[in-house]
Amino acid sequence: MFTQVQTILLVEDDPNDVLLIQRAFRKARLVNPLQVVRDGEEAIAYLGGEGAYADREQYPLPALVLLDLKLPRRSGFEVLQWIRQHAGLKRVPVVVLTSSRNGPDINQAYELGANSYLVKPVGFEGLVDLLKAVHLYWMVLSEKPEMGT
Amino acid sequence: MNPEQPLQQLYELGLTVGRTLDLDHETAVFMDWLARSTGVAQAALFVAGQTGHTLCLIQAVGLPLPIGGELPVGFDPWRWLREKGGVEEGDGPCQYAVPLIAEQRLLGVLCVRSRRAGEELVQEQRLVETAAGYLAPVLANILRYRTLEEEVARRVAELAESEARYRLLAETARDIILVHDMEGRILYVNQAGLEWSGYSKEEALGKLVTDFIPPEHLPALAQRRDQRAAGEFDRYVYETEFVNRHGERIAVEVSSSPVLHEGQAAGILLVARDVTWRKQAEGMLRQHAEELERRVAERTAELEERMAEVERLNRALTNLLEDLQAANRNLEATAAQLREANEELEAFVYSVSHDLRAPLRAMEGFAQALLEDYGGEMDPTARDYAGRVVAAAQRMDALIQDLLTYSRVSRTDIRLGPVDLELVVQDALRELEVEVQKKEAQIVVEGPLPMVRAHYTVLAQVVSNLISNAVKFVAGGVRPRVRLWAEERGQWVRLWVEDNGIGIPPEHHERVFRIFERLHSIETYPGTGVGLAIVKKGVERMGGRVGLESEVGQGSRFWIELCGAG
Repeated sequence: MFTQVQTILLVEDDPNDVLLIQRAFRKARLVNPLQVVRDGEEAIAYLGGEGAYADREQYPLPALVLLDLKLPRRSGFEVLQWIRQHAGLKRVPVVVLTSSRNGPDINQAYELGANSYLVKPVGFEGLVDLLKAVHLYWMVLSEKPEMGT
Repeated sequence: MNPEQPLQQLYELGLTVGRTLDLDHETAVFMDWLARSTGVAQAALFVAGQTGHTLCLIQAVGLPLPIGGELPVGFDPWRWLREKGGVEEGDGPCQYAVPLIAEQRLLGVLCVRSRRAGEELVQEQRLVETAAGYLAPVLANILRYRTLEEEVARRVAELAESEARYRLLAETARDIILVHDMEGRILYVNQAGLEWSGYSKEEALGKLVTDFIPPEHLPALAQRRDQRAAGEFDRYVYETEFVNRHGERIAVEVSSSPVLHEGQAAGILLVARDVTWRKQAEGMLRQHAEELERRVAERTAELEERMAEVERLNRALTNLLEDLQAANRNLEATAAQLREANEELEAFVYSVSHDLRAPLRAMEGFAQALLEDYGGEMDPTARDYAGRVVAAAQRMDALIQDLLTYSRVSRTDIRLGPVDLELVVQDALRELEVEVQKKEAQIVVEGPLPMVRAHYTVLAQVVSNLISNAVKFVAGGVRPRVRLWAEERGQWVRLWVEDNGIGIPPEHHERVFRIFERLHSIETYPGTGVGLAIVKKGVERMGGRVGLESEVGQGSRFWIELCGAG
C-alpha cells in the first residue's frame, strides 16, 4: 500500500472543468490516478462500492476527494454529509473545489466537515498552481488517516 | 250640792256639747256649762295646736285675758297665767288642772281655781274631771275633722293650681287643642285653636268638630270614630287637614286620645300640630327630587349621546385600524415581495458567481491550452486572437468579481463598531502588495490614524479600492506616490488619500463615484468602473461621506469621513 500511488476522486459535472483539471494535473506532473464521477449520486455509488464500483481494483477508495458543490441529482453538500456519516469513509479528506465564493456556502461546507474550501480560478495558470498546492499539502505533507474502519 | 245634782248637770252637758264640729262653739258651750253648773271662780281651757307642740288658750272664765295666747307644751299653765296677769298670787286657796285626753292623745288642759274647799272641793273636782271626760272625745272629733278639712283644702288648692297650670299650658300652646264629646260637639278649644278658627269661644263651643274638617277627610274621621265606639281607647296619630271659618286650610298632624270617665270614653282630646310648613318642605323636597330626576335624565340623555358619539368614534377608529392593518398587510406583502426580490437577486448573484464564471474558465483555459499546446503550429495572428480570448475572459472575470463585491457591500449586514483605521490601512496595503511592487509605488502613511465607527471588512475593501485607485491613474512613466493621513473634524474622522496622478476635471468629480463610469479607455487605464462606486456605497452604508479635491495634472485627494470612535 505504501508504494501504491493513491487515487484522487474528482466529483465534477462540468466536462470543461474536468478536461481543464485533468490537463492541469498533467501540467503539474501529478501522477495520482484521477477518478472522475459526474454527479452526486454517482459519487455516493463510487464511494459506497455499489454496482460496478464494487471492484476496488478498478475503482479504489480515494485518499482525497475533490468535490464540486453544484451538482445534478444530489448536491455536493449531500455527498459531504453522506461521507461524514459513513463509518468507513468519514475520515477521508474532502476538498471542496467550486466556483462559488458565497459566504453561506463556505460556512455550510465547513460545518458539514469539509477539510478545505477552494475557489476555481479563471486563469489556467492559477488552476495549475492551486492543484499543485493541494497535492503538496494533502498528498505529501499531511498524514493519512486509517480508512475502512 | 246634792248627789243627784251633778248627774243632772252632766246630763245637761251631754245634751249640749258635741252637736257641732265648731271648736269655738263647743268649747264656749262647755265653759258656759262649767260656769253655770260648777261655780268655779276662774277657768282657762287650753287646746293643743295643729303642730302639737303648743297649747292655745281658747276659752276663759273670770280671767282678764284675751283669747288666743299660746304656750309650749310642758310649760306650767298656772305660771303662764300668772305671768300674763291672768291670775294673782294667793288669790284663792285651791287651784287644779284637768288634762283632756282622748284616743291616748293629750288634746288640751283645763285649769280651774275654786272658791270651795273640803268635801265640796272634792265633789266639784270630780264633776269637772267627768265633764272633761265628756269634752275630750268631742275635741278629738273636732280636731280630726279640722285636720281632714285642712287636707281637703290643701288638695283642692293643689288641684286648682294643677288645673291652672294645665289650662295655662293648653292656652299658651301653639298646637290646637280641643276636646269634643262622643257626638262631636266641641267642649273645649284653646286660644291657638280659636285664633286660627276665626270664631269666638262662645261660637266655637257650639260647633261640631266636623265643621272644621274638609269633606274629603270625613270618611277617615268616621272610621276612627267607629273604632272608638267599638272600645278602642288607643291614642291615634294621623295626618289630616283643618279648614277654618274663612275656608283656609292647614295640614295638621293630629294626636287623638279618648277622655275616659268611669271606664267609658266620654270625649276625645285632639292635639293638632300645624305641619303646613313641613308639607311645604316635603313638597319642595319632592320638587327638588323631581328637578334632580329631570336633570339626571337630561344628563343621562347627554351621556348616552356622548356614548353614541364615542361609539361612532370607536367604529371610525376600528375602521381606521382595519385600514391600517390592511395597509400593514400590504406593507408586509411588499416586504415579502422585497425579500423575494432580494432572494432572487442573491440567487442571481450566486448564479453570476458560479455559472457565469464556469464558461469563462473554459474560454480562458482552452485558449491558454491552444497557445501552450499548439502555439507552434499557429501563425502570429492566430496566436494574437487566442491571446485576446484569454485577455477578454480575464477582464470579464475581473468585472464579475467587482460586481460581486459591490453587491456584497450593498447587501451585507452592516454592524458598526470601533475599528482601528491603522490596522485597516495595513491590511489593505498587504493585499495590494503585488500591485504596489509592480508599479514601484511609494506609499506613505502619516500616522497615527484614529479609531472610527465602521464595519471592518467593508472599510478594508473601501480603503483598498482607494489606494488601488491612487496607484493606478498616473501618467505614463511616473512613479506613483501616495500619501495617507487622517484629521479629526469634531465627531468625524476624515481619511485622506492623496496621489500624484493625472487628476480629475471638476465637472467629473461627481461622476467618478457612479457605477460603470469610466473617464478613460480600457486600453489606457484597465478597470471595471466599479471600484469607486464600491467606495461610495460602502462609506454611505457606514453612515459616512466621500468626496475629492482634484485638478487636472495636479493629482487627486480623495477623502472619506466616518464617525470617530475614540
